[in-house]
Amino acid sequence: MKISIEEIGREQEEEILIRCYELNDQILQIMSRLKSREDIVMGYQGSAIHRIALRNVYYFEAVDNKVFIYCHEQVYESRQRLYEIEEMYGGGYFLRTSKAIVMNIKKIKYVSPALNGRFEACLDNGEKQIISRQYVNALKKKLMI
Amino acid sequence: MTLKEIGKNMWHDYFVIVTGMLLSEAVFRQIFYAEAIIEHLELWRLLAGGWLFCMPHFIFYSRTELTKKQWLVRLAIHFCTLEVIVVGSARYLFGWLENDSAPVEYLVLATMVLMVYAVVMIGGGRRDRASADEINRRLGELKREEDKGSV
Repeated sequence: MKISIEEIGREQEEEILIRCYELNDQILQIMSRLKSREDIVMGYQGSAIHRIALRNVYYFEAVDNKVFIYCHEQVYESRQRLYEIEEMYGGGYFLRTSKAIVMNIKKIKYVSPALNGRFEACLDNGEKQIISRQYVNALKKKLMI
Repeated sequence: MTLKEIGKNMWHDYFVIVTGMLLSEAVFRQIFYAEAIIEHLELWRLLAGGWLFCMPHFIFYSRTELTKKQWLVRLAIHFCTLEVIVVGSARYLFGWLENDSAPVEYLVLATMVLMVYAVVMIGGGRRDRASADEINRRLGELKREEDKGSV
């Protein structure tokens, strides 16, 4: 994809224009990255603030009105609401997989059927999370099945 | 399970149940009432009965996600409820299970319900397995693309 930069005068408003054949996943991903100010999320551990690369996030989980960021081993707290996270990163490889979880599908090692039409996702770090039946279709759509 | 999901399941299972009922009635009549003639009213009873047997789906209604244990308990209640509805319908709707062979008729009917139930469960399980395989295939492709650096 060609990238062009045009310098403009101070009197004009800065803008990013995407010219594409169709609004596909790649374009949505680019838009998501631009909107999310690159692939960084802020995670809090006590008084420490960490900059976490989005690609290292396994999933976001809402527990008792708090949102936590789960990485390979570390867990951080987020100041964003789960729906905001879903809106910001949903265009990429993050997907709501249950009422309380937004998961990075690139971190799913495999899925297996669980009882009741649900699926169990085994993540790269060995952790297992349930994918609710109502979100299975969204996962298939995301994977273009 | 939400009401929307229950509605979808009821719609899907209705046709499976009616087919199962049709099969069960054919076998049942062949064994116990071979000489009887089926009236058109019975066909309507069969079609209406399909909805009646779908009603126990509401046992799975929950506003929160059911745990494995909760789901298994509700499944057991669902199965028992279905057995009661089927036997009750056979007795009071179709007028069966009234003669000397009633215990044997009951046993055959209960076994048929169990068989139809097992077929529905196995069918659902196979569909889920196929979906999981397809998802895993695409996840594998995604990881390979990522390794190549094209994503």
